[in-house]
Amino acid sequence: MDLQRFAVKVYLEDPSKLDPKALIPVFHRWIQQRAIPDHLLIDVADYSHVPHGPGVMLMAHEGHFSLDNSDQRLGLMYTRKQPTEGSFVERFQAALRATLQAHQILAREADLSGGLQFKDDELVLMANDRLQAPNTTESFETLRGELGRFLPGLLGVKPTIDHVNSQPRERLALSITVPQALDIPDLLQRLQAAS
Amino acid sequence: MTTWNSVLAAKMAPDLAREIDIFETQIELRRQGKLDEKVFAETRLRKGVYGQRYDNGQRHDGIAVQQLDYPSENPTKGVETVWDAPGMLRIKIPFGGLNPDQMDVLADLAEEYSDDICHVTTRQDIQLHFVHLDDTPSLMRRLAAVGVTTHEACGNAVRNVTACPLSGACHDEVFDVTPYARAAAKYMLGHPDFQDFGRKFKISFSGCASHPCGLATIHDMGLIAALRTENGKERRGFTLYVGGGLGAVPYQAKLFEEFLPVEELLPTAQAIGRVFGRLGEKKNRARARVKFLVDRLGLEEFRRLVREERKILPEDPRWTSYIDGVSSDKETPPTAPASRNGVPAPEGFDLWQTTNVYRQKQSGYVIATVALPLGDLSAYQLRNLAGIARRLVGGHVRTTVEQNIVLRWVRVVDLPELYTSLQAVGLAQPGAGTIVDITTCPGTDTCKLGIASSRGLAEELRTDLATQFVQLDEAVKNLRIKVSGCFNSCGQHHVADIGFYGVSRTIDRHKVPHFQVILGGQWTENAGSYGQAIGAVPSKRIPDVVRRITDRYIRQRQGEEKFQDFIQRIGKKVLREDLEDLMVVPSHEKDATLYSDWGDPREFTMSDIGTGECAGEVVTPLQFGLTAAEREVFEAQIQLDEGDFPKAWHLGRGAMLQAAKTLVREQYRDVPDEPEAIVSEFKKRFYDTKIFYDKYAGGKFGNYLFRHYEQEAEDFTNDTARKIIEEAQLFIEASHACYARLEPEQVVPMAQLSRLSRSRSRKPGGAQ
Repeated sequence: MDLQRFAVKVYLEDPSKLDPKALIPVFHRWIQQRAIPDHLLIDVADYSHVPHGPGVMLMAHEGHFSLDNSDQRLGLMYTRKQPTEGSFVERFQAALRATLQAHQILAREADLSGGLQFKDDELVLMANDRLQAPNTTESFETLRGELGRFLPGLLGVKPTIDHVNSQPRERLALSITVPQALDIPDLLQRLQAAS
Repeated sequence: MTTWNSVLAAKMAPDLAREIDIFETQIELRRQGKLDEKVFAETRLRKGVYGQRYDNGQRHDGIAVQQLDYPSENPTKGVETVWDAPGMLRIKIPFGGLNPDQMDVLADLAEEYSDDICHVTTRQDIQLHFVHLDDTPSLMRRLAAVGVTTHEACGNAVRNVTACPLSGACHDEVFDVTPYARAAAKYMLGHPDFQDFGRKFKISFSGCASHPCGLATIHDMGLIAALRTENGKERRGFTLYVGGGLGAVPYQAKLFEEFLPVEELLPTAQAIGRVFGRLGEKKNRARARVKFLVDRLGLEEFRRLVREERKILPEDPRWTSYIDGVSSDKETPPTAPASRNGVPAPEGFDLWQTTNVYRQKQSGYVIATVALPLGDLSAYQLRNLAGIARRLVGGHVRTTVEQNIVLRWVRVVDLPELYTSLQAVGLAQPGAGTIVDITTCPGTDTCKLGIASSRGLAEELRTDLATQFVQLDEAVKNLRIKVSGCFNSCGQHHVADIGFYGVSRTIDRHKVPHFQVILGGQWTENAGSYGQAIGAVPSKRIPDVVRRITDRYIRQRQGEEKFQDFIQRIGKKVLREDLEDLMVVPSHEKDATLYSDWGDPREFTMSDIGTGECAGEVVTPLQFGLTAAEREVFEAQIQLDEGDFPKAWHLGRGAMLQAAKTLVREQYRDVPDEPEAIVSEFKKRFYDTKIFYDKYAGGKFGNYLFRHYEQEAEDFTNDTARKIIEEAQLFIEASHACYARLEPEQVVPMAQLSRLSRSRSRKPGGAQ
């Protein structure tokens, strides 16, 4: 599948502990510090006034990072905008790496009550391209097949992959869950080694 | 590979599809450096592809100005506009009319190409931000497949035609203006007489004179529905106002015609377009709107010129062909009306109903307003709203100039269900059309010209006022607040009860964001009067300003005194004195909190202001025409490379005809599209007069056109196609050279221009 546009989302353990606006100064500082590797960080956008929306966003040339609540579950989402080289697996790994890099910085972020805690046994992959990957059973099976071939090796455990929403107008989204929380620093290291 | 172009080809109107193909080619030409920067910038703007803050490749990060190292700095997509930098796409929604299929597509596009947000503007458009130029053709095709265009959404063109969102359902309207707004938008789109402007041109339609929905007086051309009885028969028309506009120097539109029959609507607009194109300022962009032309000429002279122009316009059947269908151009209610009959109200419903529901003139139906904070809604919300609209209102939806969305034809019995459905997706906010429903431009969030954070301030005021909304005095509840990030008035601050626009002040070499406080504007009676500034207050203290002014209004209001009357009575001097302590700014060392803006922790700076694109680039129709010819040659080359020799040959000939027509049009505006007429006029005006002759080659290049027009190639081969492409290129070069020779002769005193242009337009073969 020649999918270039997709998003990866990881959820917060306890969303009630976070005021999304607290992310605004944090993201501005990330821009100053060029905190995310391989990303040209541009600006911060605040959509926290929109319920079921992208919340506070860190806009980058390559893709956006957001404290997204569009599925009514607050989480960190990375939405890839620019095409990348390589196979689907390589592109997915690059997007997952960017997501987890932001995840790790947020987890240590002193300005956010000592850091955010994520639910590390679940992530969602969204195909953000209705031409290449319409929300159909066929597309889901194709993507599940692709992910099923390499995710067990990458994660060290066989994940459960489910179709999140079969409404044809919604984006194709796959929920990837594992029985126990992943060791994110370890996973990030493996992703970096694979790049 | 499957593309949106191939998937949607059958769903797009051919003219829209062609426009998008052309734009895609122009992107490619610019990428290859074959299209001039300014021409491309104006081309892009006329396709709704607008610049965005930081697209000049730099940004102040709170410490210093940093370069944003985009991968490809060259070519640029406009002056100081980096190719890779994300921008804004403005999508035209004529009279705000949307259907659920269109809403679905807008939601999809926001998710896939933008930042997940659809933003409703003060001209009923929808804007997407953080869009990449290379994605725009796909976006446009997906929109075209559902009948939506971005064409002429920006640039020096006729912008989105706005209209009252209650049209057809309003108790006070004279008649439903929707069909006329639709016809005007359709007629003017791409029309040659609306292409040669120095600045933008805005039109609005109102159903009545008393309400503000159409804001007639702030428009270049404001139309208010009117009826006249003639020979015992009622006749429809419009009261026409011209030369209004906000911006840094606001002008109230002037009465042009008390009663303009509907049959005269389009030709009069066309005549105004011609006069504006001919006499409007082109060089000084700050004075290039219709309001300045009317001011310079005087209303009487402007009116005389327009009427003269109207007399000599070539008849066009489209002026009236739509009128027969007006009576049947009506929305169909989804189902028979029904009252609530004891259907229980969910919690919060009563307040929402009080502020967000308008009873239609059609019994049993209401219009429900979906109040959008800052005009924003997410893709998820918009998609769900489309579903709600399908299910409950037969898909009748409109955007509003107050940056909201209305659902029309809601059955009263369905109101509780509607409220619950909206609530489930976070769209049941009460307070539509009240003090909490604040209008704001994008300001420093995304606008290149923004000085202060209008959205940051609006959000602060909205949340502050919303917490006290239920307890607010009724007189205060119904006030309007509007905020602009700079003096350009995109937030329409002049027509608010309390308006603000962003400015900057320097205290000990530090910049402090401020807002000018504007009082006394009138929202009703189609924006009947404009407010005036009483002083600038630091941005962070504006909530105190609102509190003090509204508190004084509550305390000192006399009877049912209106806010404007109260402001007038108390006087701006006293009101300013009331705010003067708020205007004093402590030093940065003492208290730095005022030195940053709402929603942005960076120390405030003016260094992020870029080159605005509101004014577009002045590109003459001749430049556009010859650029189009060059593009056709480029397309011919592509066809040649792909081995389609007949197509390449015909494109080559078409390019020559395009260039010839462009030159002819300089002298004979209404030259027909038929090749025979173009070649004949070109021969008469440019070849026989030797104007087109090259100093060395004589009439050689002109002969290329005549030869290929008179005789098609006998055989379409690589050689014949290649030859015509080469000759077409030479013909276009000769056209450029011809124009360069002619140009100095066209510089005539302004006073003579009017006479000269009139005579040019009069008839084929008229005066040069």
